[in-house]
Amino acid sequence: MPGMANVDTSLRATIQHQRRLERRRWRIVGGIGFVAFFTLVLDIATGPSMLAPGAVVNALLNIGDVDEMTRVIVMEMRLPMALMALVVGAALGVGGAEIQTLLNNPMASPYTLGLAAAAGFGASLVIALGTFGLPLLFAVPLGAFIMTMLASGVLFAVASLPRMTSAMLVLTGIALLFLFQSLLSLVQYLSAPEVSQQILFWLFGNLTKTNWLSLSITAAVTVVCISLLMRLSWQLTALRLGEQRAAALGVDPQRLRLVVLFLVALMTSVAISFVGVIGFIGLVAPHVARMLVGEDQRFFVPLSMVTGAAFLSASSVLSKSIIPGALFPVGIVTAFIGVPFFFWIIISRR
Amino acid sequence: MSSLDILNATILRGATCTAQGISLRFEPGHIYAILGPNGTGKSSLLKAIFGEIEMQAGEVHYGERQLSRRQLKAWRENIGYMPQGNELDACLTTLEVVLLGHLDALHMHVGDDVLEQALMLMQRVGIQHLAHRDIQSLSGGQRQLALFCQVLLREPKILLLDEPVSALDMHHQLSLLEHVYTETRQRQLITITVLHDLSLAAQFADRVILLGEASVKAEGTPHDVLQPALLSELYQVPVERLHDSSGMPVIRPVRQTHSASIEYAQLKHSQLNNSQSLC
Repeated sequence: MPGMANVDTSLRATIQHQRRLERRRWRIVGGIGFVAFFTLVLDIATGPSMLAPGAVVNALLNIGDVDEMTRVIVMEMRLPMALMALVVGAALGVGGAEIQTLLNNPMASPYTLGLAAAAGFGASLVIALGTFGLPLLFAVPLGAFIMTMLASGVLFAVASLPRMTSAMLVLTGIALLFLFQSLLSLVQYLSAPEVSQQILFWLFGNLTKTNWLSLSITAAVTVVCISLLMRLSWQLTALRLGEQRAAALGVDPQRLRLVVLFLVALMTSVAISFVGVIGFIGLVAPHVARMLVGEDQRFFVPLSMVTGAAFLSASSVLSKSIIPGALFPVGIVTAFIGVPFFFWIIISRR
Repeated sequence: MSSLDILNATILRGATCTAQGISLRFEPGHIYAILGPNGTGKSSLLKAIFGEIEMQAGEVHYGERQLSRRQLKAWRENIGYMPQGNELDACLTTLEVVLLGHLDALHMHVGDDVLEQALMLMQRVGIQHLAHRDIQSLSGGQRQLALFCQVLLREPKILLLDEPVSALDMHHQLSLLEHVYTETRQRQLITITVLHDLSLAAQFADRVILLGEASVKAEGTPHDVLQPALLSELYQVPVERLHDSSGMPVIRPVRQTHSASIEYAQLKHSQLNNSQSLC
């Protein structure tokens, strides 16, 4: 058949173009992954105790002559904190990406659904009412987690109603957000000033309470949830064409919504229960990822993950270096660098 | 080759009944155009066949299979359904959108064979060069062609198109329907499409189904069904039937208020002059 060879070469060329595009996207993911690694190193190297870099490296690798104090600071505080920044950043980045996909709304994040407000209320209840004999370090995250799961339960119930649209789910989330915020204010209003102070301090996201146990739990949950979400990549990409089209392509939108909502709620709840409210990452990371690789979830999810991780890790470094020797709550810093960055994104996308 | 049969279908949308005891038969290799005024349940009929909305009564059969709530996924395997509208707000390339048609075959790595299949379809309808363009940057017509490729990639036996050309210009209307025609013949598809343009239906459909008042008003070849008396009554406008050079019927609504509107314009004009003279 004449022209067949011609047809074939143009087809080949387009496939090669596609392969180049895929490689380029993986390079972007790798590049930002490297930035995350770089900030991790900086994060371990900096801190209020101003250790010499050499001593830090020696303590990490367990070589040479390291005094006990340095070893404890590096291994029991800085390393878990720095790793926690990566893990929580990753969880919030992916959580934001999937909530935006699910709700078909670029302004959404896990916080839009009231999850952070629920966590704050849960934590404040425990701080105000006491721990029932449990150590405070575990009782507060537990309280926060139980309350976020309760909020998620309401969301699931609403999401599984027949003929439920994503717009109605957003409204439910906003209602929950206001409910839990007012409950939180009520607890703060009723409790003593010192307790109120303590609650306020928990609300600023903070990595300082991290230990190896909380890190392992958060990391395990995050890894499992992100792996499961990655298996749904193409279904979630199809959902971007609208629920009706997704259904026409063989997706069960209702089921997909419940599964993804569950995974995201679990992952972000665990993260915020341990570190408190860290805003903006769930909003900014997916935006950056979308600009760089589009919404093919095979690339969108990993890039949201590494961007979130790099962002929180960099914020952690900044929180320690704004005033040397002092340590700001990282949740304040993320909003500080997040907001101008976000403005820039909005304005550059006009 | 099996036919698609609707038996005694009754469809309710809210409180209104959009189909009452409708029975229709669709044969492979033919294009069926569903026509009728707004709100007569054309889209609902497609959605019912696809299983998106439940019928109050009646059955849909295709070969051995019967539409049932419990085996919806298996039923839909044979169906390529293009819902109304072509607005997409996703940041995806055209190729990615087309690939989604083959959802079950997609993994972290998409093999050359799947890409080739998708690109071959895109080449057939002439949009291969747009493969790596952002889907949102395409014109409405190009986007609709991409969505048509997506539907074909599913290798359906039944094609349900809901107003596929309503938002397109003449060129893209013709080009899309020409592709629908070719693929229907080549693949022996059962193609059911909702159309608003009666003349376009006359040009491309093998058979037309005229819906109105929850029932089938007429069914048959465009020539037989598109009768001015029937259409005037159904659409509530006077209609005249012309014929093009190949003898195909062309349906044109007749302006009722033509003379009245001229009078109105003259009246306006004189009023305007009066008010100016008053100033």
